[in-house]
Amino acid sequence: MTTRSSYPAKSVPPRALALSVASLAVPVVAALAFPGSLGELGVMLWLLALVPAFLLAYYRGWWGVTLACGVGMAVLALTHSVAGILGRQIQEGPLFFAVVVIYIGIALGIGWLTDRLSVATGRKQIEEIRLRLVKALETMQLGVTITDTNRKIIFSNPAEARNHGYTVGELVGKNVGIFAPSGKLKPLEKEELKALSSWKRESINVRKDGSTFPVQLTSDVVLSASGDPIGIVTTCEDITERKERQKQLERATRELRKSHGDLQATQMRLIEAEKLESVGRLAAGVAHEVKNPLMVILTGVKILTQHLQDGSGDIRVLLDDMTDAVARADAVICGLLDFARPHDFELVPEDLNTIVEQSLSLVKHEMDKSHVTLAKELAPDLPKVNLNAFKIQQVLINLFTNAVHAMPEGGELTVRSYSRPVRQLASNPNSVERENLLTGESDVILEVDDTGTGIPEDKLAKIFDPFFTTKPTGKGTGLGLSVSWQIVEMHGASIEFKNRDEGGVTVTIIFRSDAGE
Amino acid sequence: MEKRRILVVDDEAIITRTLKLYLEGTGSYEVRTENEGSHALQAAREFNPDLIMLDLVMPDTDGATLASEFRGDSKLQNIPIIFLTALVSKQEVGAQGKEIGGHPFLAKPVDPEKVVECIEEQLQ
Repeated sequence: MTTRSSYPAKSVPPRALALSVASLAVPVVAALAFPGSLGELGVMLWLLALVPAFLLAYYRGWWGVTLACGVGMAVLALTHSVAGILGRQIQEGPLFFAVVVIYIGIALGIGWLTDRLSVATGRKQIEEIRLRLVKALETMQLGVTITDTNRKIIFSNPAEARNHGYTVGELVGKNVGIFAPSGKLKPLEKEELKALSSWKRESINVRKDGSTFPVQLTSDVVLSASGDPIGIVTTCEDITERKERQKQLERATRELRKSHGDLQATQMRLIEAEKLESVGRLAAGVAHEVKNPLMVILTGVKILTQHLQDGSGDIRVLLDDMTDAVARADAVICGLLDFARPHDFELVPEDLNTIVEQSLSLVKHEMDKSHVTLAKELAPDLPKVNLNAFKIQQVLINLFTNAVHAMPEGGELTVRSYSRPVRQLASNPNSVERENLLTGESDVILEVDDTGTGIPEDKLAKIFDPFFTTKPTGKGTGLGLSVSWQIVEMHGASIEFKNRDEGGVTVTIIFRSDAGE
Repeated sequence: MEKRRILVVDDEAIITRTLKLYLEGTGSYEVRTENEGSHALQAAREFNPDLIMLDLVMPDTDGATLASEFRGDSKLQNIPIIFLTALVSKQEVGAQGKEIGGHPFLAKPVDPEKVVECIEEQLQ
C-alpha cells in the first residue's frame, strides 16, 4: 500500500461559498440602482479585473476569491443581457466606475477573508489529526520509524526507541543504519523507492549496547500528493519470543517424530515377535510328529546297513545319503524348536568379552579353512551385562559363521566391543543441564564387521524371517538369524544389520547394562 | 555271554519295533517293548530288565513320573534308566548337561549306535 499525502484538500469550504454568493448582491444592486449604467467600457473593465483575478485565485486554490470572481463574471453577462432586452443604454459615468471599483474591492476582500478563515480551520483540523496519529504511534507497542529518502530518521516512536535501548531524541536525525549490524545504510535510488511496496523481511537488529535481536520489518514508501517518494515508514517487531517458540515447536516436532519412529519400530518388532512365536508354536507341534518317524528311518537305515552284503556299494551310498537326509531334516526341526522354548533361561551378569572369545574359539577352525583373518577390538573394563552366556554364544557363533560364509574367498572379520553412558531424553530441554541426563546405565555394544558380499538392500528386511536364507539348499536352515533375533530380543537388547559403504556387513548388538554393577 | 534285558517304553509302536529289531540284531540284548505308559511298571515287574528306556512324553503319562514310580519300587529302584524324547532340541540337550533327573537323555532321532553306547555305559 502506498501512502499518498492527502493535504491540502481540494474542496470548497461551505462558508466561502456562502460569502461569495452574498457578495453577488453588490453588482445586482448596482445594476438595479443605475439602470443603463453598464456600457461597453464597463464590460471591458469588469473583464480586465475579473478574469486575471479568477485565474490567479483558481491557480492558488483561493476558493472564496475564485467563486467571487466567477459569479461576478456571470452576473456581468446577465445584467448586460437584461439591459439589452429592456432596450436600455448602459451609461458609463464616475459613479459607475466607483461602484465597479468598490465591488471588485469588496469581492476580493470577502474572498480573501474567506480563504484565511478556511485555511485556519483546516490547519486546526490537521493539527488535531496529527496529534491523534502521533498519540497512536506513541502508544503502540510496535516500533515505527519514518525516514526521509536519504534514510535519515525523522520520526521514531517510543516503542522503537525502547526496543533498541535509545531515547526518541537520540534517534531523530541519525541514519537508520544505527539499527543494522552492517551500520550506515545508503540512500535508496528513486526506482528502488518506487519498487518498495510492503517490503517484508526478517532481520537482525542491533541495540545501543551492541546486543542483537531478531526482528520482523515491514517497510513502505510515503508518496507526496504528486506521487514522488518523500520518505520510508518501517515497522519493526521484536520476534525473539516468536523465534524461541518456533524453535521449541521444531524441537517438539523432532522429538515427536522420533517417538513416532520408535513406536513404529516397536510395533514392527511386536509384529515380528508375534510372527516368530506363531512359527515356534507350530514347530513344537510338528517336531514331535516328525522326530519319531526320523528316528524310525535312522534306525531302519542302520539295520539295513548291517544286513548289506559286501559288493553292494551303491546301496551303501544310498543308505549313507538317507542318514544325511535324516540329519538335515532334524537340523530344521531343532532350529524350529529353539523358537518354541527359548523362554526359560536365566540372565546373570557376565563379561561379554569372555563370551566373544569363547565363541570365536569355536569358529576358529572354519575361519582358518576360509582364510578369514580376525581383528579384535575388545574394550577392556566393559560393564557386566545380564545375559545367558549359552544363548548369546549361540547368537555369536551364528553371526561369525554367517560372516565367514559371506567371505568364501577369505577376508577380515572384525569384532569390536565398547560401552557408552545412556542419556535420558529430557521432557523440557531448557530446564535440565545436559550433565544431569545421565541415567547411570550404560549401553554395551558389540559390532561384527565382515568384508564379504553384503546383503542386497531389498533382502535386509527379511533376514530375520524364519526359513529366509540366501545360502544354497541344504547349507542353511534359514533359522539362524530368526533364533538369534529372538534371543537378543529376550535380553532386552537390539540387533541391527547394516551394509558397510566399503563392502560387507556390520552387525550391531546393543545391550543395556546397569553401570552400578 | 548272557543277553542283557532291555525294556523299551514308547507310545510309538514304530519306535519300539525298530529299536527292538536293531538292539536284538546286535545279538547282545533281549528286548521287551511296551506302548502303554501305564503298563510300564507291570511290564518291568514281569520282565525284570537290566535297563529301561523311557519316552519322556506319552499320551497317558510321562517318563519322569514313570521314573519316580520305578524309584519307589524296591525291586526296580536300582535299574538304570535312559530317557528318549522327540521334544527337546539339541541346544537344550547341551544346555541341560545331557541329563534329566540324573538319568541320561537321548534326543530323537538318535543314531542307534549311540543308543548302544549309552546302554553299555549305564550297564557298567
